[in-house]
Amino acid sequence: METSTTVIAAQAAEGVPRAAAPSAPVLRVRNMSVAFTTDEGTVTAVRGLSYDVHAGEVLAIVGESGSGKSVSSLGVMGLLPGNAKVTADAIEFAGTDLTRLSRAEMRQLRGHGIAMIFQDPMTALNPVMTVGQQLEEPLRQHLGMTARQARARALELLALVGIPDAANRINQYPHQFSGGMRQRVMIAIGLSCDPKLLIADEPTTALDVTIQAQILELMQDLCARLRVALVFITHNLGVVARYADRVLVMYGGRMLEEGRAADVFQSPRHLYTAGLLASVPTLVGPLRNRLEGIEGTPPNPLHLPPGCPFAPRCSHRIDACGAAWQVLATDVGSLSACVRAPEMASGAIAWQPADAEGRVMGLASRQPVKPAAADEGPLVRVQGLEKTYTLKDGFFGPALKVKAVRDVSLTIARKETVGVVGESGCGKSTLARLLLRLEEPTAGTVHFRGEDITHQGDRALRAFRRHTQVVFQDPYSSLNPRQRIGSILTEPMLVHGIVRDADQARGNAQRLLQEVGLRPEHAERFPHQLSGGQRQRVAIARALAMEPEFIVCDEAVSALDVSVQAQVVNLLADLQQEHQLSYLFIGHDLAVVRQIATRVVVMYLGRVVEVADREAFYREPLHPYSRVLLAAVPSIEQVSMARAQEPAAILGEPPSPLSPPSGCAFRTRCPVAKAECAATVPPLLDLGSGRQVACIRFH
Amino acid sequence: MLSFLVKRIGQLLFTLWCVATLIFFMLRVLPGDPVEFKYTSEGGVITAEQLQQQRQRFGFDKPLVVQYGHWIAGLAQLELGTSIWSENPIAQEIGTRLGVTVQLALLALAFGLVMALPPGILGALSRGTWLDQLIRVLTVTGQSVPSFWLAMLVILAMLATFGWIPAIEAVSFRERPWEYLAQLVVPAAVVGWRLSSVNARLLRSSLIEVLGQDYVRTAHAKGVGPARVVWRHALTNALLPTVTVLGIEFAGLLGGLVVTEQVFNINGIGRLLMQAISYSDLALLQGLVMLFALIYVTVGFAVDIAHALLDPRIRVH
Repeated sequence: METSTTVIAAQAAEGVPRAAAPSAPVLRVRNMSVAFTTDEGTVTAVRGLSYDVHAGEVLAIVGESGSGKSVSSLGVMGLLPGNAKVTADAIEFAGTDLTRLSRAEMRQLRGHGIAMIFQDPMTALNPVMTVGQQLEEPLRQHLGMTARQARARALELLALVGIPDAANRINQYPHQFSGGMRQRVMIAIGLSCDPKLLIADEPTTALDVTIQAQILELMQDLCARLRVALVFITHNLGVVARYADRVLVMYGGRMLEEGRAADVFQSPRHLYTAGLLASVPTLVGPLRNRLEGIEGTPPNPLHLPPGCPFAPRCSHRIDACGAAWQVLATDVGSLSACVRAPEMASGAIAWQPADAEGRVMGLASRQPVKPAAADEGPLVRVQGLEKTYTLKDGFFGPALKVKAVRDVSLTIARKETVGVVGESGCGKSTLARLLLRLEEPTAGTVHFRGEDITHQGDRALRAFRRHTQVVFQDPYSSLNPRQRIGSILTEPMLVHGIVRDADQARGNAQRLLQEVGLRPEHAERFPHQLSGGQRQRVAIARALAMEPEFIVCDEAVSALDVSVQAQVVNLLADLQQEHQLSYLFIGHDLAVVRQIATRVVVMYLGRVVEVADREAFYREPLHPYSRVLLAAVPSIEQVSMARAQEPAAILGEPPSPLSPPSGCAFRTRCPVAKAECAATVPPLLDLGSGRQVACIRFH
Repeated sequence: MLSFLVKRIGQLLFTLWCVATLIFFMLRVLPGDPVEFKYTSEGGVITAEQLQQQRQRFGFDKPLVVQYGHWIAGLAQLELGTSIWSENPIAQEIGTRLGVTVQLALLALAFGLVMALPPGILGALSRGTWLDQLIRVLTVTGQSVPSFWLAMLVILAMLATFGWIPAIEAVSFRERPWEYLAQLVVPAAVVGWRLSSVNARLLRSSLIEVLGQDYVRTAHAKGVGPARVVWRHALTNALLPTVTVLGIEFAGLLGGLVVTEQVFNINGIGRLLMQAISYSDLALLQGLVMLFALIYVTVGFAVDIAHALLDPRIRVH
């Protein structure tokens, strides 16, 4: 797809003549704006957005939360709530101007000409209707099929999206499907009436990386085969790099940059794009000491700055940024709204993070984060840890046993960061809870500073609790909404008698707030008055208030936007240096784990299958599962890879922990499994230099 | 499903035993001797000797534990004993009156659900408008008005406007079916109206919540028409909490009928209960309380089953 070299101003109504475009675009959006009327005033979520999508093309709309990426697509679909007002010079779908259609005509088009897939497959399907009923509904409605025809077509569609045993599963309800399978059903519903355009809003954000890869491969393949134009909305730049033909970068409701994915990723011509790319940790290439992320937080949509919405956070802003707004073609053929794009092209300026405020935002200290040495014996030593949950199937039903953690042994040195990775349900969070003794292990021991904490009484446990803290994933639900930030921070200090009196506690709280990059006045606020990133900083400050030696970060940065995630990753690294902390970092994003962890532990169905130092692990993972996991992660470097270089196939879904396969649990999905794998559970074999692998091939 | 049933029935029996024990001892704590009351309340005189004889006849002379044992053993054989006042078997006293009360209650329940649908759905769809406000005022009013008072108002209004009220004396369905129905419909509507106000408010809020769910957005994205989105996709989900409350309300409904039956002069269980209280008829009271308890737990059981039928997630687990 060639991008035109014609200059356009997004405010201007004229479309972009696409010189080499083989056909008219399927979707042509010109100067679209969306405004919401709220109690606090008018919120302009999208301003002057223009883009084209052609048949068989994959366009990614990428942006952080609040950038307007979802709202713009819901606006195209006519699915916005009543308080939203969409204006546009044109929203043309296959030659029809959608802005002129009546509601009934628009409804005829939805699910027929344009289909949409949503983020959370857990909630996007109706729980009281069978999958078949939900799939047949658009077929009967739009194509006028009889019940029998619709059923036959529904079965074909389920087979098309790779749902095994479709004839039986068609009569099941959504809760009987896994998340990945539900998203396949959503794709089947989306494709049911042969749409020309499919809009997918964060279709894989709620899924594991292995399942994400399967779903994205499926969508890409089906859209190419059926010549469907695909628009997908995402915050994940790796996904864009691997699957998109073109990318549109949104920020503060505006399009900042648009072009071929390879051009935009290799030669970004907007400082925001460059900053965003610098915020993303990578899987290959030299390891950066710090992520050169973006300071601050996205703008409040109630008070958008004039001109470039990114200017207030930009390290290269000049007066012109706040004035004119125009989108210009760049030297690489992309479109950019950055007034300094020509200077970026000539190499006169490049992205660098602002370091005006010292280390307040966690970016300024530039010295490398040294991996801690394990010289004085391990801080945490785990031996043969097991956790079995017993479930009851009904009153007289059999007791079912779920072995969530099985025979896990590992050590964590002082000042070390150990990353734990694996798919959901692999037991990584249970392991963390056992380490903190938030749950009682079924067997095995945990030693902390040489003391066995698994059998300690309440008093000793209290002392232990002081030295170990945890930061959870969701900063929205892990802070008490009715407590002020100040009291959230001072409460544990007073409870544990770390401070003499309330005054000292308040003083400490102020210091902690500054240390995590917040201002003292934040102590008076309530959690809902802070952004997600700020809340996670509060959660970290609360953990620090106990002056701990060991902090468990359970998916602590997973819910944050890319630029904010980089800030928090840097903050964690700084705090580690300053306070001699050890971290257990649980994550599903292997690139983030590479950035922060010095050692990596891979878990599968409750067992550790590989332990390795960071360098060795990312250079050459040994266990087949580790390889599959790494191959599944879409990473921004992959934009330069040839599309022919397909990632390793990841087979199926994890088996149920209720009935794990015999022998090596991974054998059912392993690309190199042999008959012997079913016989015995491979022990974790020490290969020397801290590397352990549980695979029969190394015995 | 089978183990689910067995488990729920076990819980049901246990609850009934608890109620039986509680009501037995609570009634025995009350002051006054029911046998003495029976013979002296209307100015009669009874000698201590005769009283002792009568007490023996009703088994009140035995130790409390023995009486309790009789009571529980009787219950296990579905034997409720005889009324102290009328000396008829309690099962017979209840049996002759149960039919009309159940008809009344079911009719009221139907009114309570059907009359709740229009205001509940309209309120949810027109959220925040004057219509929603109006519906809210009406439903709050409906909830606050006691049904016996409304019943009296309705009777007076009917007299004032039509000069007619449903027959006060008992009518048999076979002889005069229309009059029989008219006799039931008015009290059922009065009791059902209050119930529908509660349900309408509940339905409105759960429908608003459901309409904001992702799967409703999916239905819109599929191009499903607005009427089908509401009826097929949203209402089936929104009715779940309403059905639960309907079951809980059913017991309260019986309570409401106690007074309403008096007002409309309907010879049902409610009136029987009033009589049992005024005559201090311990045996009859016990029997009636057990009946209410049985209805209460059975309805709870039925609600669970209805839930399982409406919601596949419960059925499977």
